[in-house]
Amino acid sequence: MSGVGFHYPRREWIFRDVSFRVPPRSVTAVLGPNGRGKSTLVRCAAGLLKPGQGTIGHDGPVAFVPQAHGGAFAYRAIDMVVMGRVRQVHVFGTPSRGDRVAALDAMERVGITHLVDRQFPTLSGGEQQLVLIARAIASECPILALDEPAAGLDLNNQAQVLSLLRTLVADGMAVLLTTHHPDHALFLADSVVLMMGPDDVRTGAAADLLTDEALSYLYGIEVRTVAYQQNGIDGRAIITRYGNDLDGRASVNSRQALRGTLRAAEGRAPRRHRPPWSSGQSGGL
Amino acid sequence: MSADDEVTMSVDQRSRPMTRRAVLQDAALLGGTSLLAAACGGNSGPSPTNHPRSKITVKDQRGKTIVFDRPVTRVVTVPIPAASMLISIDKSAKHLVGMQDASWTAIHDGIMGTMFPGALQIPHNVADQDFAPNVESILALNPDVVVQWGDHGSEIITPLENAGLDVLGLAYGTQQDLIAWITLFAAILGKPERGREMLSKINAELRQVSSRASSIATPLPRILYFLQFTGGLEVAGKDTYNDYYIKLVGATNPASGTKAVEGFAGVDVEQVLAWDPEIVLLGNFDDAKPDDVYNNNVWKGVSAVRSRRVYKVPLGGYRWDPPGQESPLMWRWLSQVAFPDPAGSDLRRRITASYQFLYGYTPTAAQMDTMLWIDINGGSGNYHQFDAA
Amino acid sequence: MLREPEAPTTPKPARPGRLGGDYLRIVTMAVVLVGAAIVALSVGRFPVPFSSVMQTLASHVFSVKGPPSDVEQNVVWLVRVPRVLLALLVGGGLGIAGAALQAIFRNPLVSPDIIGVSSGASFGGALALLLGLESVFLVGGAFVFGLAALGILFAVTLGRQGTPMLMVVLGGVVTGSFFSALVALVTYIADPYTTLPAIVFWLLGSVATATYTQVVVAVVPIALGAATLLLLRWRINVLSLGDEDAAALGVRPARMRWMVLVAAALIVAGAVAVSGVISWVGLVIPHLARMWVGPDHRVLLPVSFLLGGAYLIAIDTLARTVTAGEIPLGVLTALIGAPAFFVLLRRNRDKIWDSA
Repeated sequence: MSGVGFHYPRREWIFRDVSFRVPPRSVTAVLGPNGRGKSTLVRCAAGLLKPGQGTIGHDGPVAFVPQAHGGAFAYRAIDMVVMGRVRQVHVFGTPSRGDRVAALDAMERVGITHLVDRQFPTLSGGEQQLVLIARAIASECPILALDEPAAGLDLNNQAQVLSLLRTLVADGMAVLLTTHHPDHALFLADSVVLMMGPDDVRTGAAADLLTDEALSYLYGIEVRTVAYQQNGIDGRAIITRYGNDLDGRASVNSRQALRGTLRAAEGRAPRRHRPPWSSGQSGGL
Repeated sequence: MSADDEVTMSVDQRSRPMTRRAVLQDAALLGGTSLLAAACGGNSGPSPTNHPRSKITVKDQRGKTIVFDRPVTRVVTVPIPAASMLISIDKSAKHLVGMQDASWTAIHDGIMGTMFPGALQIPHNVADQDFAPNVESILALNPDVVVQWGDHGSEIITPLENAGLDVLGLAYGTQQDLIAWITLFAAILGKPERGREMLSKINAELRQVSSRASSIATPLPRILYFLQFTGGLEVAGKDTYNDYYIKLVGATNPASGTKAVEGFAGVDVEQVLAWDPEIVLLGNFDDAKPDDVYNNNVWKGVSAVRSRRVYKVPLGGYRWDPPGQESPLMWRWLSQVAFPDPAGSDLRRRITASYQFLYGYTPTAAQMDTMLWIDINGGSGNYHQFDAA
Repeated sequence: MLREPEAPTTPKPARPGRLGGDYLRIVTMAVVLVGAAIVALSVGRFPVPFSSVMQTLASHVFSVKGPPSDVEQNVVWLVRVPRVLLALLVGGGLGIAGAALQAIFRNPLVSPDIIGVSSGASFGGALALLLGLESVFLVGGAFVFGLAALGILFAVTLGRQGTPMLMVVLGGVVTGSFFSALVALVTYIADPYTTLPAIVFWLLGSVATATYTQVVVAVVPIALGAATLLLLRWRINVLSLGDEDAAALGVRPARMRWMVLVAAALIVAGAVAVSGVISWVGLVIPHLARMWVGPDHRVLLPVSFLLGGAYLIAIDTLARTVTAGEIPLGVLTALIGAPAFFVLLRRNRDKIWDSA
């Protein structure tokens, strides 16, 4: 994805000049406050929206996982997953046995074989999300783009989705996702896209960009990360300063001040950041 | 009560249930001098015949009483058959100042336009196809009276009355209505004697056709009239004028028999096959021709097709199918179609006489051929009786 | 056999597709349809013994000798068979078109009227009747203006990438209203004594004048449209998820939707051309079918066709046998369809499309 920008007709740019790559076996997380264009960016990357500028190249089809929503018609979960096979089925055809087997495999992989005959709209939000991910897996695309895969899920389901994504990446997929949880980015992402503003989209390695300062600036609230160890692996967790309303509001209102400090601290505005892994790899976005 | 009454009433009992209103109408409208009582709304005032300068009081078919200071000279008609009937009663088109477009088309396309070329110059934009009046166009014609449907709802009458116009509200479809129209039109035109003469001719014809019917010993043939044929079958059932004259000539209408339909009703061809009519009449409300029936395989088992007795109803000064000034000719025609006279038909002679009386016009043989559909009916049974001598 | 997923904890075995049962339902529906057709062929105002009906069919279909009387044969072969075939085609066509349109608009309240094609076709037919043109022109007019309505819909929605569904719906409503106004204009101009009754009769909807010519006229567009929809049956599933989902799965939703729209328009124009406007079938039948077989269009579309055909055959049989007079089909479908729909909605409101 290079130099990509998008705006809706007769509106301001939502973002401009965004460039990054999602190589195979890696996760890129898009972070940003509500309404900053995370979903739009991922839809552009997945080819669902045509960017206003720039080019997007894929080395293979992109499977897009939308946020779970009840459908108009109560299809069974297996039927939903089989629909992931649409690229493999002729326009006038219906799924073959092989397609159904692939769908079942995908459901097994996601761990939802018990939902096969359930009607999709009757499933919980988390179950729906898992069905949609299974559908994406069944499509056998090398690239996976997810819009808020953990939205509305409880902690257990969130963990399930995250570890599933990790497994998929380990198996060679390229994953691009949006999230509201910097935690998830810290846990999953190799690189991140921080949507600070229309002309200030920063891309880079997660470890470099996910600093306390950047996150605080991004969300306009004081955010800190704490290091921890789990099963011998280093991790970081997010601590947001909730609590005292006055302080909270103060921190929102002091965005301008905060921006000043940040600029000073970093010494540069990291626009058009070129990621270190921007060339030489095959596959990915 | 005169003999006229008895004939009409006996026919009427067969055609539709006798209501008190119908009895009163028959008695009032047919009985010699009592005609005037009806025309004058039952007032005991002086008769307009005796005192031409006195007021004319009529009660229209809505039951509304209308008073005219003198005979009307400017009439606008909205009901389609009213224009040609008014002309025939007036024996002139000069008092008709406006009419409905379909009336004008009928006059233009038929023999009326030839007999009364002046009628073609009359404005014909007074109402739309739903009979809703164009009040301003009508006001511009400055009419003495507007003839309008009295049984199609008040919204087509009220705007006229609100504009200060006198409206004569009419009903249609039965022999009583025909008599009432003639009576009313003759009264407002100040020609009650013309109305009486017309009615007495109608009654004489009624008597003759009826007595011809009772003199025929053969079993009653089943006659079925089709209002619509081409775009879906529609037949005349109970309480239609067609049912009335089918019975008048001494035949039966299977559509008003044991498996009856009310009024004009859509039917499927199977029902027609089950009725198995011996004579089929095709109306003038679509373009169906006897050949359309003869050439249809489905119909080939029908008695009327096997004996080639399918006829298109004639079209004279107005369509002969519904009630009109030429209805007696229709009765005569149907009577002879159903029961041909071995001595030959006198229909052409009767048409000449009627036209002389109604319009002061003598139709040519070719005009009568057109009227009688000699070209398309010629291939049907017994139709040569109507050929020109 | 299919490979079962190796998950011992799975509470019940996965049955991929479950199509065995679905085929059974399609076959059951087909049997119901044939039954309805046989009953329809056996009853009517002209009494024909059942044996004669069968003999007539046998003599025409299998060239068996010894047919019954001429009239009986004509009634069955020239009156009832084309009428039943026409009811089957029109009912089936409206059923499958309704199901497909409900899917692509993702709205179970959609009926074939929504894309304006019925109004366009009504206008074409009414115009032909107004001009005193019969048969070929009536059918041709309905057909041409039905497709013209679709063309206008194209034009209205053209130029916008992706053609949002809302534009299609609005375009359909606009086109439909425009042609409805033209129909009103035609009835306004029509001679109240000659052409108007024919136009009104035709607009009310009927297969009473069925002939083999009409069957041929109807079978071409309806079979073409229905076959296209049946071939697309699974793609219609994908399309019914919504544009974004469909696009995400690799389908071009706008193009697919137009394919479905054209197929549905062919069907509707063909149906209106031969039978006038028969309402409610395209709305009610997909619902009934969906309650029975679920939303999967691989099964729903064929079942909607068969059920629609059987339904219209049954209704038409009522229309031509209950009284001596012919009851307009469009009136009966609405009179029976609306209350039946109401009862079913109340009883099964959860099952219809979505419990969410």
